Amino acid sequence: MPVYSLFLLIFFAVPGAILAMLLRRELVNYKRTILWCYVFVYTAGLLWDWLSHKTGLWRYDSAKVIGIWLDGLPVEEFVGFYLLGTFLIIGITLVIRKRVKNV
Amino acid sequence: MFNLWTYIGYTMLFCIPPLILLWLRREFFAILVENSKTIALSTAVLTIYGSLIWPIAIHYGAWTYTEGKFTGIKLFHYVYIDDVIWWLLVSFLFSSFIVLSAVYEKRGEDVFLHEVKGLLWSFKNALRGFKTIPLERNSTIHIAVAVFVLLEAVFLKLSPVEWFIVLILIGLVIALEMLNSAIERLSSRVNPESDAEIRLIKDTAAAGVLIASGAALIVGVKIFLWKMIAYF
Repeated sequence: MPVYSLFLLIFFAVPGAILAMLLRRELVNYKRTILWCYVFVYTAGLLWDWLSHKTGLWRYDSAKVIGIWLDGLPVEEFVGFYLLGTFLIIGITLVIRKRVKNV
Repeated sequence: MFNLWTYIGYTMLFCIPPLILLWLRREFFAILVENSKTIALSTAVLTIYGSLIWPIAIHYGAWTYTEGKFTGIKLFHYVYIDDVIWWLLVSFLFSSFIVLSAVYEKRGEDVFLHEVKGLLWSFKNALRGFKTIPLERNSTIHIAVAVFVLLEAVFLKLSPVEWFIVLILIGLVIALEMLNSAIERLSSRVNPESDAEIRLIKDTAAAGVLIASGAALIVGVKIFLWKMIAYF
């Protein structure tokens, strides 16, 4: 069973979709911020993840992932964790920024 | 626990240097402090959320940590302290950058490109500084000696450690010579007349170059002389 995908879907994709709806009009105003966040995640973040995996910090159970691997890392990591996880952080920060300013 | 190849080690290695880059700059610091409420709240929300969901993923085996690479200490008997620190630092780093970048973007600027342009401008100025080398007698002598030493190093097949020492010493002597030239030029510009204090400043800078050159000469003789004797 692809536990990792399910986890990402429930805890990252669903709140991510809600945040995207909340911010649908504003997101376009922050396109450069979003772009640079993804650039950092897919460069430094990837290096961090890859090093952690190579030095045996954590490992993935092949029975709990889809089964597509990229140099020892499951594809969920690239599509789910980096893409959705980063969006979750961006979304929460921007929503709070919007609310805090109105206080 | 704080070794490089541990969970906390990696978290600190990848989060603290960029955090310093963001928070140490006075220009950025003012903006970040102004938005500190947003940053603190985002960090808190994300850390709590991450600390609540991470144990679920671990419980169902989405990934597992290697024994000895993490503390194994659980907070409230629920979440590993390593995970909490990861979420705390990652959230703090990202929310700081997002807030900063959002402020710049609102002004119609790109914070990252702004920094890259500033850095390139500094490099351009530094490269222009090389133009002073042909203007100074001592600088040209140091360059000529450096080329001689480098050619000797190639012919005498220095070991990697010897190469390392030679390159450091060449760099040190030339860098100090250039700083000395800059101080001399500035001093002459500020006070073209003979002044005891200015003379002392110029002599001190020149003494610094002399010390570095003397040390380089001693090390150079130690490395090259024995090799040359052995060669012949």
